[in-house]
Amino acid sequence: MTEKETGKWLKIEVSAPPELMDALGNFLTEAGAQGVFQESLAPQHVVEDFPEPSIEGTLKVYFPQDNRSEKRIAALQKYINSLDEIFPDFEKPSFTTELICDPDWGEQWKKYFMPIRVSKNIIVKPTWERYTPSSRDIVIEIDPGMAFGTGQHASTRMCIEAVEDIIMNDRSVKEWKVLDMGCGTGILGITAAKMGAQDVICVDIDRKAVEIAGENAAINNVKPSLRILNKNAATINEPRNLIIANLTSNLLLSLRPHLIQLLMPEGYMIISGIIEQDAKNIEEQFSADPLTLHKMITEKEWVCYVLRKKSATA
Amino acid sequence: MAKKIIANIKLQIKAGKATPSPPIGPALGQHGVNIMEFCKAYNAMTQNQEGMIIPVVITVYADRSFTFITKTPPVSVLLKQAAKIAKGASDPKREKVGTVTAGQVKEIAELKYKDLNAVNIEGAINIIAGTARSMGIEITG
Repeated sequence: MTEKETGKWLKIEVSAPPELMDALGNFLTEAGAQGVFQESLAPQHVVEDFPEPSIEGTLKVYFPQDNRSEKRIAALQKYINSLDEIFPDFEKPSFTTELICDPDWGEQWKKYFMPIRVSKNIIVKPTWERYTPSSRDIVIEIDPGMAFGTGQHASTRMCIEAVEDIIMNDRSVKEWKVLDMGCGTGILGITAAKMGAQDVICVDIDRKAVEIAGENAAINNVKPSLRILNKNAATINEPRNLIIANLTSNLLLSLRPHLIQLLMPEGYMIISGIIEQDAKNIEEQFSADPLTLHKMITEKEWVCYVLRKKSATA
Repeated sequence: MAKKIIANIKLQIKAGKATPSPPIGPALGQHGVNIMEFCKAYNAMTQNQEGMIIPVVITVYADRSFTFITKTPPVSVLLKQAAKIAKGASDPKREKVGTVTAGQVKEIAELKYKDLNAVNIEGAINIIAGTARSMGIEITG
């Protein structure tokens, strides 16, 4: 993935009658594109919501630029010629090609990433923005690169709130042993470390995310407290008293037995990345023995659960 | 107050497999959408349909926030399923790769009706039949 991002791409833009768009999209996807898109830009003067528009723009598709590019273009032309024979009454589809070098589409949204207060005391800010904190503020600096976790997404925000709540309020725990499962930018593990946890393991199967999390740990001066590992979740076997997993419902369900095993008695588990439609099932599965439901947080259509494991004597 | 919309984007991508590479990166990045936030949300929403192509229409607002709704799979994908074929024809005028029944076309038309720009169900059936011909799929019965 990374190589392609920094490499060259062949962009093909197809104009065609709306009736032929579906088949053309199918042809291009079968030719190896990861997907196609169309867009319609709102006129500048529109200030109110307008009903869902029909999107009839050109069909845009990207292929990695390689020695198959010429063949792909020829095949598309042949297909279009064939369509033109079948539907002589339609305007004949046409296309343009463009070679795109070193695109920076992963960067452009960053200019809209502003410092945000995520919970009572925690501010998440991008490394490139200035922010003057008040005395109680805990500021977490993130350069997300192409990894997930900027604090802008509800599922991340709710985890941060839960971590803050647990660490601030449970004073009986002397040493927090944290696991951030699927760490992305490392934002959740870094939050725990900033709150005082000194033994934090961050794991992600995405090598790029692990690199980015390492950089973010350094920026936030918490590197000594963090171990950031490019591993599969199942290979982690150190007992933890705070596990944070902001994943998807299916992944949470498949990891459930392992997470329960890793969680120490009376330890906390924060699970997030759950959309409303999955919440009931997740709650049933996770609030069963030996876990009990400690807290439920919701924001928009997202749900986050905080669970607690029963004490060893219970 | 309603928020100002700057763009609507329709993406056809694989369920549960959204990543920042094309087409998602260029489609959303140019409008300032946080790409990874979208991928997370889309993958969560479509995780149970992995393997299918699930179109999604994303509305981007002036403050760069976004909402999206997922749609039923494209007509071409449903036709391939009905005809039990993996690929459409590369030269549909001369090459026939499979067949579907008129009943199957009607079923697809009913499923896709609200996503198609059709006046009535007959209009939708015509659109589906046109897509079938564009793929080298014959309609029988």
